[in-house]
Amino acid sequence: MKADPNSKFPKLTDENYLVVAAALEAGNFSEEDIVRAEVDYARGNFFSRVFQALTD
Amino acid sequence: MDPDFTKKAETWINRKTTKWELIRDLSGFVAYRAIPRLLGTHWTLGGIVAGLVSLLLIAIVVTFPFWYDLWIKRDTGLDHGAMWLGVIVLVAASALSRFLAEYKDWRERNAISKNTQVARAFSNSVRKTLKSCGLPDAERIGPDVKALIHPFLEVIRIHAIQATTVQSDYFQVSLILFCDTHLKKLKIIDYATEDIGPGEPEEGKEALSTETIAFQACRAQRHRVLHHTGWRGDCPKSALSGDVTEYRTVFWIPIVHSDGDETRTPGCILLKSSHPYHFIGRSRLLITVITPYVLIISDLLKNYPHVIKRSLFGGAS
Repeated sequence: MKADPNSKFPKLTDENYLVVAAALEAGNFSEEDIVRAEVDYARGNFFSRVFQALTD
Repeated sequence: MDPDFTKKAETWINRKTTKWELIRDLSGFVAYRAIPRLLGTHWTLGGIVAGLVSLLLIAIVVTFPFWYDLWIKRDTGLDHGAMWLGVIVLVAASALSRFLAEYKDWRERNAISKNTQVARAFSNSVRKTLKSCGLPDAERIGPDVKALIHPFLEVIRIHAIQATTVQSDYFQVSLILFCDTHLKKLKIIDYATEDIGPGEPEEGKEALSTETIAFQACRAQRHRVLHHTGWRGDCPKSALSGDVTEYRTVFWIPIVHSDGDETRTPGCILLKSSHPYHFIGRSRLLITVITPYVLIISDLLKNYPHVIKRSLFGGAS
């Protein structure tokens, strides 16, 4: 979970989201990496997408 | 208080959503979000009656030419096929018009990722300014520190209302912090607005940490939503819950501050809404928007002494 500059951006989950968000400064990630990971996280699983589509 | 509260709360915070809960949430979504939305109203007797009457009026208006001819002329002058085709076209036109209006709304709401980027850019600049100007001495939360934190609670409240699609009568954001060296007590420090619902604990109220869900959320450093306080399942009732409260949905967001290989959690931010299932389908989007503001609060509380410390790799100390 540690933000290693040489590693890929960690996959965001409910369990690690707040810690990774807080530790972002320690890593050397591009804005694109972060946005991609956040979009993936926000989309969630199948049920999240169904609920999201229905609540849109 | 339930003697097994701590164990139950810890289990509830850390476990994943079960299939049964997904079914329950889907039912709740249909009951509290889909049906009221279809009827364009709220879940009250007056609201449901008004919604049904409005649907009935629309149906009468759409089929008026047919009924007029049938009742007045005793003959529609149309064969049934043409008549029903006309009705279908009218209903389809009405549905298309509604869809186009909704689509415009949908596109605007999907700008939420842009909101996240704006929030992050704003947060980064504020945090850099704080670093260069110096962080407040937050050893004790006095009026000066509260005055610095309060605007960000208000911003979180505004974003949370904007990011969800629900109009709720009551929506409050509160800040809860540990208030002793041994982290035995949690205290309500501030509310985003003065509109504190009846039954809500007052500012300054303390509770034993082990009797709150917030404590377990802080330990796990994990956010969690209770969609309906009436359908708690295995989520026990916290010591900070009032007996009769305005809210039905609760969202716990621990404040996490990263300092090298160590994380510090001084407390938790609570979002409460009077609308059941307020955050369903939106909790992840919401957390990405408001986390940048939570990080500003975590910076403002960097010198706060009463914190749960963990290494980045896990393990509380």
